[in-house]
Amino acid sequence: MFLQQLINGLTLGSTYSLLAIGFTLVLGLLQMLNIAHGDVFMIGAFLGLTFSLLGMPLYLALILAMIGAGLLAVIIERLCFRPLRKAHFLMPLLSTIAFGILLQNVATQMWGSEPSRYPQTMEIAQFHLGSVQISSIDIIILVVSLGFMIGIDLFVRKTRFGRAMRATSEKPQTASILGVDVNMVIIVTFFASGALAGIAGVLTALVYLQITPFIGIRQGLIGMVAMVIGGVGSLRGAMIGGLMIGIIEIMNDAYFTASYRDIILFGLFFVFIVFKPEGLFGAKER
Amino acid sequence: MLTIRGIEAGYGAIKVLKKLDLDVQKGEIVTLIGANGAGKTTVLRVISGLLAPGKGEITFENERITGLPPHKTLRRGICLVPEGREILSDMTVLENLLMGGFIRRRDEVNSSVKAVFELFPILRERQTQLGKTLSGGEQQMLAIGRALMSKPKLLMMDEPSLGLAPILVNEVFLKIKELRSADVDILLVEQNARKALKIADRGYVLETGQIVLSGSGQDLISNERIRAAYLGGKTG
Repeated sequence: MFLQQLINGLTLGSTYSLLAIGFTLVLGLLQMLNIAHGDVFMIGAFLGLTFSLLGMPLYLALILAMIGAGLLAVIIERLCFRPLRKAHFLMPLLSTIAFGILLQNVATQMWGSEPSRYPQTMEIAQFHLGSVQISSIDIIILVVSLGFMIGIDLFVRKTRFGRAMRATSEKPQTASILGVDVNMVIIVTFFASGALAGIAGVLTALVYLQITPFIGIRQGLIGMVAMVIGGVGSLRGAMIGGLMIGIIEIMNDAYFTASYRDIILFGLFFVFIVFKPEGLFGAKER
Repeated sequence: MLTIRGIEAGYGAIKVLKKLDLDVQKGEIVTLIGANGAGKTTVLRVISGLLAPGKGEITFENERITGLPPHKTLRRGICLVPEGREILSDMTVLENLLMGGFIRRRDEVNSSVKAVFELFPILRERQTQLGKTLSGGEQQMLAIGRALMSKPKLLMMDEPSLGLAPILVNEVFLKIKELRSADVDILLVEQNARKALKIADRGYVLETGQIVLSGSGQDLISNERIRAAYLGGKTG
């Protein structure tokens, strides 16, 4: 039973991690939060729904939703961040809040505010490993999200472009005199952050099977909580933070009361802010 | 190869450079000296593209580069070692060097890393350490080594001796002289005017945004006005 819940928690948490990574990537680069990030997740879910309704197989819907959400994040950079680089530092925060609300309303116009049912485009198989039951959906979610997590971690640490991202996030001007096109790094980073949110959107929709234009609100906030618990600015922290929240949420539902879920998660957020503001993996200063 | 004509630049309403002309010829070490706030750093910022000039023209190897962003001037062969060294503190020494070679092909980068290690053996020993753990002198070596990784034709250095112990200052100037044989032209901005003029072929004196004097390094060192204003009046 416990092992079962642990797997369920990891599955849920891995989608939170994908969101937290997106927040962290943008925050690391611009020292700013993209509040519309949760709504990019929501649009990703609806894109997945739309492509699935057109009869596309899951992998194709997933790839297209990922690209669509990535492009949406690039648009957010263009509209909410770039024109405001020299503005007061709170302005991009406000502009992304506004853009998020805009996205919720656009989604309501396009797909309606009632829950939309997610179509089933694949056979769901159940596997039994001892007492643990795991569905093919769970396996897809775990493999896809853990794959992307490991992938982005390696990309940032080991590749030439990843080094440029880290250099830009520490000292943008220095990166530029070393030959890095800083605007290009920013665009690629936003695309990656949006793409990961889009994947998370589709994967989450596969579990809940119905989506509304407002699913991004809680999801975005949870992504931020995951980032804070993991340690602001740390990619691995964001990953672990997301997985932890997923496990806590599922354990709470299984052994305690589901209605206490957000009290516990957001309470934990404050415990960290007060007693361990650097999170599990964050640097103390900076 | 570098020609600057009539450059005016500043920050907002504040004009820092007023009709500035300056040249660096092939094979030269040129130094730009002047007091704090004269505009020395601004000259380098304008050339590298960190600051767009209001007026004037900059050409490099007969091509206009006025207003090009830094990542493009670097590709033309102009590299800046910024004031304060600007080491990437959360990256290792090796990663800093690899960032220096960002614009070059992988196989070229590997041989350049070796060349930099030959020039600065201490960097080889420190290659896996994070940038922030290096001493000031080591950071300056790394900053110069990192700049060389891009194989610049023109290396611009902003106050490389600033904040270093005297013995390290001598070492840095020695290394700069060594670079001459590495086929790099150098534009050196320094407050340590005496040492800079000694290794330079030519020098410019910058006062409140204008060149007030120029000449060979030797001429400037023996110039009465320079001695009084920048060399503390002593003979050197």
